[in-house]
Amino acid sequence: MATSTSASKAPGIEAVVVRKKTQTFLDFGQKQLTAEPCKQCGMAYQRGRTDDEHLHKKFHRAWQRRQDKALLWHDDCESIVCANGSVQIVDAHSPQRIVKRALAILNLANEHLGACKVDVLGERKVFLFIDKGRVCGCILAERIDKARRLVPGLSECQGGFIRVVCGISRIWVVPGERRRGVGVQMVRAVAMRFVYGCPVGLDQLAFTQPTDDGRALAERVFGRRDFLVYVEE
Amino acid sequence: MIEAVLAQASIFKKIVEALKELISETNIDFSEAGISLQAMDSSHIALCNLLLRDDGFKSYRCDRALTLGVNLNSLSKLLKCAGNDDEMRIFANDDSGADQLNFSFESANSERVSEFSLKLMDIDADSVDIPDMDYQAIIDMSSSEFSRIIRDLSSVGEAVSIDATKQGVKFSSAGDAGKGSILLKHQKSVDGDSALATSIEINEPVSHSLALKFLSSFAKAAPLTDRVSIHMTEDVPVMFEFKISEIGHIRFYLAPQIDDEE
Repeated sequence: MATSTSASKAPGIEAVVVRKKTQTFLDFGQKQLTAEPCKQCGMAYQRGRTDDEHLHKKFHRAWQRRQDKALLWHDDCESIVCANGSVQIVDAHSPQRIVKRALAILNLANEHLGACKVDVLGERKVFLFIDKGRVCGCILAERIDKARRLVPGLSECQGGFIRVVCGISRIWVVPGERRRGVGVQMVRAVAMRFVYGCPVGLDQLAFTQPTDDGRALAERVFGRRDFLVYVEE
Repeated sequence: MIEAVLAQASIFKKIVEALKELISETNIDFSEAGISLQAMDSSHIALCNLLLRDDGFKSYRCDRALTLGVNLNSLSKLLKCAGNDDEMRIFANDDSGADQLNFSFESANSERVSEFSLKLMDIDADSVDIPDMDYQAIIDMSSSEFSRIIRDLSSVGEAVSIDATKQGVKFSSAGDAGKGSILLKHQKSVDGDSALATSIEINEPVSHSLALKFLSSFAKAAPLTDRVSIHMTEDVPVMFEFKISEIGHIRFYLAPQIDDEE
């Protein structure tokens, strides 16, 4: 009987080995054994299951193509050259077409950050980090007047309001481009160019309530754990 | 600030060679106690665990525990630039958030110093606690013998079954073309004359079927040490331990294959 079942299947080791074996998996309680979303495309699938992996690969490729297209950037506007790319500034005075594109990228970031959609730019400015014709990250910066200091390591504020100039409402770096200083360079560009012709000091910059990654970045940029935060209106 | 000086770069080279086939990207943990690494292959069938204790280094300093993600293929290419007898220094500065891991290699006569740095990656991997357990059978054997058996049986089939009894351990495999087996007999004293001897500590006979694909990547760790020990208990992952002289170990865990229920 064993031979009849193996004969119906594709020739493999089962043809000789009497009993078929199944590969088991290691379970040390790791998260990924259950269906975990892919960090980039967000599709939940089980690692190690061939059919799942295959499906994910296909979806990921399609997603990647869409993403690559969405992140293409060949327009030229006011820009600052940085170590490994350039930061371009888009504001209400930029051509409508470019503003629209910038908002599309910003909303892609919003999707990743779980933040609400932005439809009108208004007085705010978008800073885009461009490398080799692709967007690597973006910042939405706005004019604000007051912020408070954060209690280090907590999500509470301390002390009274401090006068500030500029608020970073969103900051996002494309997942594949992280850990190469894109975020830091963008924040520096904001400090340098948010107000035309008048650099803003780091002590006049504030973040909205940061995510964990955002907190790490802010601590790195400001060199202190009690950086300034503000509530978006 | 992290700084670790290893008297011989060759150890680190061999470690990376042993791991890179199984895993392509991994987080390396630097702590006061030393350097450690834990990574599972993408299919969740094998896991490796590396430990290099701080006292095994010529000098070791770690001010703050840090986890750095690296691509092992890039690291392996970078390490090809090191001579085997070079003194190797690994360092990273975390004052401004580490974004690269630096290596410097100094030749034995201190005439040549080369320096390389590796870009780091953001790797999302959760580390797990591996329970310590008592194994039913522990086979201690020569690592070169182990890699030879794996190589020989790989040409026969895709899986090897390891049967351990008090008398000895039998590795067998079967495939389309035929089958083969290798029996190693238990020898009383391991130390001394024979480096090829096999010793078996056993409570009850154990048998496991394992995928050769993974074993052949484990066997890449054989150049690191003379001995390998195989720890087996029925129905739990098999553990292969390669002790690296005076500094630590690499342990591989492999999920066995079980009989189909139908």
